[in-house]
Amino acid sequence: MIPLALLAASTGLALSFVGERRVGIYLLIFFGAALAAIAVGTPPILADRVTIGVGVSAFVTACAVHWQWRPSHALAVALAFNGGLWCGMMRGTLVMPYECVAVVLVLLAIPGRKIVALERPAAQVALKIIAGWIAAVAILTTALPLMLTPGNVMDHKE
Amino acid sequence: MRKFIIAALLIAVTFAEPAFAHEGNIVRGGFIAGFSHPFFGLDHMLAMIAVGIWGGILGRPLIYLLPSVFPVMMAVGGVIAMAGIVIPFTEVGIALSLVTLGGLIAAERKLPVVAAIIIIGVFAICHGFAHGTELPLAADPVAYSSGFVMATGLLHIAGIGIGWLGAQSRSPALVSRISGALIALAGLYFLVGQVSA
Repeated sequence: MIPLALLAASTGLALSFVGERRVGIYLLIFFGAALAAIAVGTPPILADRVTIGVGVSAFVTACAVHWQWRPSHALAVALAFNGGLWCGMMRGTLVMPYECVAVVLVLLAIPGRKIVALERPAAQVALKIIAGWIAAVAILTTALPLMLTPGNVMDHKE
Repeated sequence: MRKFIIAALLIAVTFAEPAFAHEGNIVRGGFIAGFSHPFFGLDHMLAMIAVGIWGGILGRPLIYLLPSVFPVMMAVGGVIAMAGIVIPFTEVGIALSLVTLGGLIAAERKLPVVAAIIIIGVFAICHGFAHGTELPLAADPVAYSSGFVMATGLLHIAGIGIGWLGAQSRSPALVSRISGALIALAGLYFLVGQVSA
């Protein structure tokens, strides 16, 4: 569920910076791609690969927030489509229906857009720092399931 | 008064501890354990605050790039550690990060964006590596590391807040020098401890 939430949140954050253009169009692209992927379905055998793909997409989308202050139209369409597609594919691999989480988080683009429109540097800085955190957690959620943790070793503080 | 309230809130956020009402029954190593970990290691905590202060001094775009790059590279360091790759002298690197960042803050040194990111990235890998080797096997590693990243980010923001409050004071340069010197001195203390160990 965490990779799904990270991708939806990073997509919502990225779409917050689309400038004067309507966020609704990109959200429609996101939901259209997600519904198409859900309709097609995801074979259970691909569950692990989809999880990795969602994690990588979350990282790339979060980094795109830092790429430039206002994503171009093409970049916004690509991010919305990619985010929706992977979220839809991941929805097909989850036992529990977590799509509500993704819907709520991607809709953060709407208040996020309002915050960016305030033209207050502190608010925009906060959104970009949150994107950095999402990128970091995306790395960990993608990589950690692929390796064994080293176990309980002496803490550096002890 | 307003500045005092902001300062009090920052200190409260920085040093707040979670309540362990039923500690004997919980499995250590979840989100709370990861979140609280940075607050109990003075070396890590000072480094994360220093990143925020330095970012505040450097201004845009580093005010948000440094607190973004640090957790990302820290995650990379953690993954390197868990992959079994050995990076030598990481504890020395952690101590050096305090000395370097403290010195840069004290001098109010403004470096080019790429140079600042490289410095922060290298030190973040050291910090991440140290934590990656400590990740408990019984823990929920994703929750633990998510909590850790969240706490790291809050410490960065606390650092930015300290830098901002310093910039609003009557003698901003003095605040930078004192805070930077204290961080560098703490780094020297840890460095001597590492070298003599």
